[in-house]
Amino acid sequence: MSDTDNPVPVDPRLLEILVCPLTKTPLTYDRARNELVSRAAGLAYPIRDGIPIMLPEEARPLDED
Amino acid sequence: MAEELSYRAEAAAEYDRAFSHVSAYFVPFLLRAARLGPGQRVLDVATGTGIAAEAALRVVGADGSIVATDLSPEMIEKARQRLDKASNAFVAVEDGQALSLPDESFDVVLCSLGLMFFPDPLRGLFEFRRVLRPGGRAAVSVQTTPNRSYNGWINVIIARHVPGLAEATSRTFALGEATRLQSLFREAGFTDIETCTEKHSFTLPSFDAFYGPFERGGASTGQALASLPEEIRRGIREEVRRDLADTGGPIEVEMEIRIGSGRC
Repeated sequence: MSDTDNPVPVDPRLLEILVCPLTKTPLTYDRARNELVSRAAGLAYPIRDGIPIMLPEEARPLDED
Repeated sequence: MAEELSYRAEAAAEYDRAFSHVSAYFVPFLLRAARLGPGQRVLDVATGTGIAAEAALRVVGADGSIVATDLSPEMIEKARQRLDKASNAFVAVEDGQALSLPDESFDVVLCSLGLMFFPDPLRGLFEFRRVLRPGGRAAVSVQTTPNRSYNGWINVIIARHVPGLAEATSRTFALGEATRLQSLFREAGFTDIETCTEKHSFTLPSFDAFYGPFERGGASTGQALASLPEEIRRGIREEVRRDLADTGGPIEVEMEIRIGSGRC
């Protein structure tokens, strides 16, 4: 199952406070891909079963787009 | 590194049975060291199955909030289940040395029996200080020595048979000295640094009640056991039984922790 199949929603109050663990800059929520995007780090952090996975080694490099 | 630090599914599943009553016993001392009070915003790093977070939630009440993090997705899933009914508790998979939380956003940071597993504990404490508001407090608990650890002494026995485990076990107790904790807090920029020591003897109804969860893969001990052939496991079991002077009745296991805390 991919991360985007029937995504469990993340609490928006948590999304509001999370920053990029590398750059500590704000993230944007990509609803379609169910990812938290850090433009500064060039990484998209996955959300699995409603739990943000804030680890760079688990993140998708944005240049794959 | 991540592999060594993150618990596999069975370890998370048996962890509660193996160790949660031990963790839970010491949590109030940690909350006291953190000066936890109603309405506070709390970060619980290396929350495991969420034991400290759940206790903290009761203290901070509906006006406070908890963010509970762990490196292991299996552990964080357990923590979410434990905290599920609280609308002011949030979970995320995080590296305690590189948190995805903003500067000065918490009143208290807790880390219950977790900091000693960080590859770089000082980096962790720097992160704790970064996310604390000025005047906020971080409190961590660590194990002291294998002989006064609930299961560390078993790991020492197992380590004779598992290459690499001896090093991992000694690392588990690397922060056990009060002076070591104090200097780490000082180096990370904390003030008003305190340490204290708490000890308790746990009585279990039988040897199996104590050892069974480890035999089923619980915690670091169980994971190490699972990697061994049956015959060696049997030998270790007998050695542990002998050390506990098991006669078929209740047994006693001692555990000591050190708590360090400091103000941001």
